[in-house]
Amino acid sequence: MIQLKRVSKVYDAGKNEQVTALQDINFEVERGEIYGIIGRSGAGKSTLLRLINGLEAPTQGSVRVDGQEISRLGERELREARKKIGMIFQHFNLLWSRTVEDNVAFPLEVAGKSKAEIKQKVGELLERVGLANKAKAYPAQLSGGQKQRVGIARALANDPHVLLCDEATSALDPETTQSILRLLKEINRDTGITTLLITHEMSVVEAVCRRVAVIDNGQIVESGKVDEIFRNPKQTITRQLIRQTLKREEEATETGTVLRLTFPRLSEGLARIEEEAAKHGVSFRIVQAEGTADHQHPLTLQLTGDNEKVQQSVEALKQAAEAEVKVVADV
Amino acid sequence: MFNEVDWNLVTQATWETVYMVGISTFFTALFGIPLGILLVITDRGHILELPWLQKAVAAVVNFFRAVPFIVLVLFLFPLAQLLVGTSLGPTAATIPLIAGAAPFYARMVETALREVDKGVIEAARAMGTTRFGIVTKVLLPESTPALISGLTVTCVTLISFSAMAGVVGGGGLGDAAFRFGFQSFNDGMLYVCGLLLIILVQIVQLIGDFVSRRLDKR
Repeated sequence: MIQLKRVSKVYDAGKNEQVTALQDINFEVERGEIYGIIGRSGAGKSTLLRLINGLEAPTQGSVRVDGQEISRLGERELREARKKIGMIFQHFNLLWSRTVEDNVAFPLEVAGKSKAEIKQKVGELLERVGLANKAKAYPAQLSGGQKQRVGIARALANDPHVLLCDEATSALDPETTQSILRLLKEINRDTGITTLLITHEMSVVEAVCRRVAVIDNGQIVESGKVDEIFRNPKQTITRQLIRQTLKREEEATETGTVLRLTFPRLSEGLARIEEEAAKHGVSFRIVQAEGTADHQHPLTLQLTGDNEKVQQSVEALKQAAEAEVKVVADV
Repeated sequence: MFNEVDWNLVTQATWETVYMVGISTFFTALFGIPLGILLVITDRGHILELPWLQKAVAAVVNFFRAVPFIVLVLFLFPLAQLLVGTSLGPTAATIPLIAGAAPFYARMVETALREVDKGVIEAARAMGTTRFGIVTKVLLPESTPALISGLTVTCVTLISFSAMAGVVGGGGLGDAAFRFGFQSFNDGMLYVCGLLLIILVQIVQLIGDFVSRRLDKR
């Protein structure tokens, strides 16, 4: 569905100076999948995303979306192509002068839809993202999560085949992030929209993506299935990104031992945790629980109590969980 | 003091000022907004990158802003003969007033449009919006409160300019204050005309602030 071949992007930075933003990028996103691109800020991922809807033109190489060579399109054709490529943003980029419904109506107006069509479609979209009761509100009256829902509704207005997500959850708190990711996943499941998201957070990739590419210094350094990359990161940068995510989870907790474990079945796992905690007299708290694409359920757990007892519980849980258990931090 | 005030004259002068300022505010907006739009969108990195045009428009705007208003008045009253068929009275005065205020307002429009969030423009482009659509659906609506408050400032400036233009044949409250007040040693006339100018400024400012605040949904 999306295909990049030998793509590079070089910017002129003043006299005889050039900055290579992207170098020899190759990847393919299959129809209907959620693909993640992860990298630190400045790695070139925003530029990469903008190549796909032609907001940036590649210096070299080919960018194909739905069989169309994006960089070869004329201005009018490019505008038409963009109507089928939705995009959502870190800072939502809503028009503050328009109400929620008028924001969602914007792309439909641009596409020249009739008033009646717009009204009906906007109603459906707001229903879909759970904001039907906020139709007449202005963006300034909404929370971050609600603003992003408006952004999503707007991006879906012209029934696009592709959805580009530019750090869509980076300005949101962890809970809101989870709810937005859930919504993106549902939409992907229901409409089969091909979704490409860029982020600097491994947890986002882990939560929704099937495959991921790691980008560093303008190059893709590693790519593959998310769980494989997680289990066996080859590049230093990948390990760093994974560690950063875990560290953030750790920072959220003040005391105790934080560990990360995966059970084949969540309910069984939770039962085991409760059992072990009760047996050893330690208290536990679930820091984070996610569902991944392959139906595994990584849990981040915080155990507090007597040090020895905590260690005993950790050992017991290590035996119980089929997948690996990582002790993230002893505080 | 006030028994020497010729109220008929004052009424007529007030209407002349309102007329002069009204007409010139309208045309100032009519010319200033497109000029301001041009200044922004033809700049580097914007939606209609044309640096040479940007520089040309900026040069013209700067030229008119640099010329002292009184010089514009003296130079442009003759031009009024050509454009509106008379070089005397309030209608003729609108020509230098517009020439003085439109470039001033164009710069205010420019500032207002540059304040529009770049991300929103990008979002509009990503949705396949035409350049015209970006101007009419994004740039202008998103900067309306700033455009209104800029126009308010411009209108107030026009009121004081109109008093100046009045003195060299434009009519209005400035003219009345100068000729029938100052030059005729009629203090009452001078104060009444001055007071009316102040009241006009207050009214314009109040309306402008109110409208601008009402439209601001941020």
